[in-house]
Amino acid sequence: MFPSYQKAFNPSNIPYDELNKLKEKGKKERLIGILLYIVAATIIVFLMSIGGEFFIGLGVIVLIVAGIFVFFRVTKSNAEYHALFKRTVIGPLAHNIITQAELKQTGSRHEQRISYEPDNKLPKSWLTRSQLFNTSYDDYSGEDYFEGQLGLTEFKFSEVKLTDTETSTDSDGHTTTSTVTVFDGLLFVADFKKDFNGFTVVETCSLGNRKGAAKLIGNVITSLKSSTSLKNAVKVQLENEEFNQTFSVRSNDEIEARYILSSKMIDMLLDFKKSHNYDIAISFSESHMFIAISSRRNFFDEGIVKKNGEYNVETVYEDLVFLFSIIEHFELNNRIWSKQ
Amino acid sequence: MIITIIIVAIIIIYAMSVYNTLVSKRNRIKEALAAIDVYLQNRFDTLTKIAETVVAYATHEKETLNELTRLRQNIENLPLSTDKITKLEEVEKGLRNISIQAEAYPELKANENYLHLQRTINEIEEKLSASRRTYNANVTGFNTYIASVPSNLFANMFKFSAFDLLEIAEEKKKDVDMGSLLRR
Repeated sequence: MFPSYQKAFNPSNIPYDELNKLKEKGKKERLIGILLYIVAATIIVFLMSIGGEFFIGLGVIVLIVAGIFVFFRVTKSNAEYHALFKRTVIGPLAHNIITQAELKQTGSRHEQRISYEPDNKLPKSWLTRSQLFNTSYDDYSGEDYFEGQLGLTEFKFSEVKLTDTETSTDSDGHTTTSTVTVFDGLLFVADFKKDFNGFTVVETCSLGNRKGAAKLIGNVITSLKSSTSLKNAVKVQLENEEFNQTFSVRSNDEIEARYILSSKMIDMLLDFKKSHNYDIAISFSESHMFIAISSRRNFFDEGIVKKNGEYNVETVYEDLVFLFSIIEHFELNNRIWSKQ
Repeated sequence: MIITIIIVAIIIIYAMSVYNTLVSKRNRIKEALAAIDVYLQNRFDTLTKIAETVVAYATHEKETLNELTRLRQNIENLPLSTDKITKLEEVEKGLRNISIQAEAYPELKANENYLHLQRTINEIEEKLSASRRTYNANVTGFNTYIASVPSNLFANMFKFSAFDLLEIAEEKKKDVDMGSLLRR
């Protein structure tokens, strides 16, 4: 269905000149920074040798400030390099995968389009609507926001990181603050093929010894338990025993849960679970399907590899195809019901 | 003496818990049955609209449609039960036979209103299937609970009895002879 990596990836898109300029700029920043640091350190050591405590304190402060200055200059030029690469390579790669895809069905309302914003993330409202996350997390960050339509199905996804600040006080009254990661991964949202009003959450229940699974499911379950709307949710047991052992289903409308989780959808969910190693949680809410994929990988940055002067983004291609394939896997373009 | 009181209190509390659980399970069964009734009504209405659309082309079916509508009105007054559901499905069989006549009229099959009604039927069928599955799941849960020890003791005491599952009629288990249906 999707074009091969060779067809989708066009190396001529890579702006080698601009990237090399940014790379040289980065090298220069690092060199200037190191020289500045050495000069500042030399002056300060000299002053400290002739001066008193005042110069020692001043010296330490100046060294720290100089270090921070150098760090930010270098980080900024790396970020500019990455941002340019992502905008000029990953964006067109995703565009080619989507526009060159061969759909099983076509029609006047079928579209194949995608947009990519490397520095943007899913709007917070989608996290709330998914019913998968505790709304009281302290910080939400993300990047690599994709939005588009494949066939009749609108979709969007981005990397998502939720953190909570926890404060604890020991017996001596000392307070320590720590940042806890509630969720780190990717959230995929697609327009579902059926209309429904309530919500149904499908969680994997076989944790095994995998820390990742325990972390995701633990966080999701904590989130679910503290979510107000789930107070009215009931556990739903379906007819497929393998499905019941693999997933745990909760919904605020038992009939609607079975309407969504038809025999075919049950088989598709089982196949989807078997097709990858990610820890996932799926929900169906407000006529949308949400898939939360837990992974500490930086999906689209780590996939950029350079060997012998040539860029290889095959990992990024595979990640994108895996995500776009969700639409065909769950037959979301099959609109034989009243929702069109 | 105190031990006896404690034991009796525990039994009473347990009996109350079993009773409340049985009432809750029974209400979920009734809720599922009511949902089936609603979706059957919706399906009947939509099938009637499809049949009316077909009758505009196949005028010889008009009398059959009128008869089916009269039968349906008689059934609507029956109390909600699995028997009522079975009777409604029988009447619907007639509506479906009329609807299949649409195969002979290509211009009807391309009609936007007809297509919308077909999609609505698909949706209602799936919701009906979900309602039946929910009903059967709740009935199975209830029947298992009243048959299990020790809740069965209290279930008999409170006169809770098993429900019947919704089963597929024998003729629906057979393959559909589309050829003979279309030749009608």
